[in-house]
Amino acid sequence: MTSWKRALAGAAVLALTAAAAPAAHAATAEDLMKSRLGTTEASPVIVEAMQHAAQPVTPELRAKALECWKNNGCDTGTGGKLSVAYADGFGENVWRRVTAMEFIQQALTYPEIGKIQYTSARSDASKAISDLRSYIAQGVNVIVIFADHGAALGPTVREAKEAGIQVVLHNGTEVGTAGTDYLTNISENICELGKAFVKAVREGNPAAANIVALGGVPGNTLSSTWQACAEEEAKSLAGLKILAKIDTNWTQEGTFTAVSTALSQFDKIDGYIYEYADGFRGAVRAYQQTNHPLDFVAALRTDEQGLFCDWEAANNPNFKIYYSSGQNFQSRFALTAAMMAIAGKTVPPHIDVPFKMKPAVKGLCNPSLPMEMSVSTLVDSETLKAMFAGN
Amino acid sequence: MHVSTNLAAPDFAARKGLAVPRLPMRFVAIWIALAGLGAICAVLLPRSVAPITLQTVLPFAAFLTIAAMGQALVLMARSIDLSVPSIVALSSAVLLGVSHGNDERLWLAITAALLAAVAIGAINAFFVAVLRMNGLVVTLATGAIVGGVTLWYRQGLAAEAKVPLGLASFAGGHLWDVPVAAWFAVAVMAILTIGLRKTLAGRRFEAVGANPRAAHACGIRTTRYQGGAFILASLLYGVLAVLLSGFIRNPTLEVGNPYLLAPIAAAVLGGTAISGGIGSMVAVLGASLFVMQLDQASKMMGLATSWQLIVQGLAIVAGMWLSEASSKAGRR
Repeated sequence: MTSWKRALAGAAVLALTAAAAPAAHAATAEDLMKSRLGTTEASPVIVEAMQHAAQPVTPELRAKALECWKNNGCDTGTGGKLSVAYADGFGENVWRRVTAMEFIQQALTYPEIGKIQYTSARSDASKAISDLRSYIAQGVNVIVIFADHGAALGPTVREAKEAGIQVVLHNGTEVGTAGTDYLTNISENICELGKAFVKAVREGNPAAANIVALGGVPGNTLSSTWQACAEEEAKSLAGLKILAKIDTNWTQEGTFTAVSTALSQFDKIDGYIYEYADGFRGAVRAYQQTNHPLDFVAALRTDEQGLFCDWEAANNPNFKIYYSSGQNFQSRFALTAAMMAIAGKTVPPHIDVPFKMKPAVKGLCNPSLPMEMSVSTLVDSETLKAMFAGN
Repeated sequence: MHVSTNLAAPDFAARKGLAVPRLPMRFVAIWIALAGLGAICAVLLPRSVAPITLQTVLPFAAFLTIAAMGQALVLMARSIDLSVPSIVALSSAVLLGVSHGNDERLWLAITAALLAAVAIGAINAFFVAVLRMNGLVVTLATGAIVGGVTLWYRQGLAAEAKVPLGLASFAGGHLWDVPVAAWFAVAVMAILTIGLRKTLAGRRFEAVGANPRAAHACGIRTTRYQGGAFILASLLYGVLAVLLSGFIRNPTLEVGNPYLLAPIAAAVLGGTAISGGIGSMVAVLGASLFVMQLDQASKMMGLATSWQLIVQGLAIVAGMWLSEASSKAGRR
């Protein structure tokens, strides 16, 4: 990058962070919290993160963010002394790529950050560990981790903490002990999510009696955690029963076969509860394939827009969807938590991200963007289009 | 090898002037097992053999049949193909990428998808048949490489990654109440059966699988037949990818994942000899139906995934034992 471009980008970042009020078209932090989290009551970390996220994205900043995203890192041009890194354990789908952009855009709102780095381990545990070791060796100040490999990263995460690096995990991944082995863990309350699923089915259909719970990869702890809490909730409500728990491997194809089985096994299914909206497109296909009417309520964790496009196309008042959020923006909260710790502020070991089940409404589907895109992402649509342009 | 190749083909015993094919028990066993499974399901789990359930199972059985027939060809050529999921995913991605969900480009997209599959098959064929490298290692490697290429290609695909509507309607459709995919599976089975049983090339292919050295000594170009098995199998995986993508409508990168081990299980249960040369596409069809019905029944019993896997594993072992035992009993 030439020096004048670097200076220009640096000036843009400084101008951006100095701006007292966001541009007229931009949402305020309060707006973002209401729309994404359903509340303005949240941890100070989340409030501060949203204030950064609400800052407008100028064309210069967008260009810098895209450069950073495409090259897996960049010098921000601000001359900042801090170096931040994002270590993704998988990195190979649209959700992960957008989550990386959330991190990059958030980093560009901090003039004290001079360098951003990104690595994807592509599901390889040994690469995930070597990526972390490389960051430790370079002496970065912050590592945000999507810790797909869980406990396998434990010793390396502790090593990073001992080296004085602020390490933060997000989106429900676990390594060792939060607050001791690393700074903080950011996630929704997965148990409450399971209960909220059941409540949402009843909200969509007060007479709902039979629910099928869909899970991910056999034996995964995420699904088993929320399913156990969903069963508790179902028992507390009169006349409601979870008929079966079926694994889907978190794929559309797996969901297709799981729901096909459920359809042939049970006479009446009033609702489905599941954590993966994009996977649930397979359920819609299963209904269409067997000419079953779409007459159920689905309560889902994520909000990939493809399902909303299917829902709009179905145009059936008996087919209702309640969804929470894909929560790509947790990578922003993670970075802000680390920056607050560097600034000497107190950061708790666990930060609960509020969530709210919302009914799907028309207008959520944008065919010009990837179907796997979460509708609640904080990445602006111009940037999203540029990320996936030439597609 | 202790199994003679005459088990692979029907014997023609002269009976009152008529040539009546007598099927070897090796290939009949799976149909007996399927009938037994059907009877057990009808008594203990009537819903699992209800028309709606069969309509659910049949397309998936058809997809598995096509994959298993490809795998059976490779097994008959004394090798194994572990690149099936990657080839299916690549073909599916090419179909999406070339068509852009547009019916006008459908035929071009289908051609490109099939060519992509065949190209990978040709690469496998070159390394295994020409360079004499181990098929297991080669296909594992090509599978990994193709998986990476597909991932890269899919990341640059159109935002709206769906198959053309015409293909979706066709692949999800029915003809005389039977899913289109099932007709395809039966057609492929018929073509391959005639090809293997009634043509010179088919006979030579079986001979090469049974004993490559003897075949070579007889002047048969063994490399051509061994490589051809990979290419023809890959073409079948391409056909599977097109049909499956149309059926699913929004295929993802994982579309080929179920086709790594299940086709091998179905091919072996169908009496295909891992030692080469011996196989029956009709029996492979029966085995695919058996595997899918067992899968569906164990799910409908409400078994946890852990128990489903155990039941399926035990059934496959029992099926193999039955197949081997009956083929021994059938020898004269």
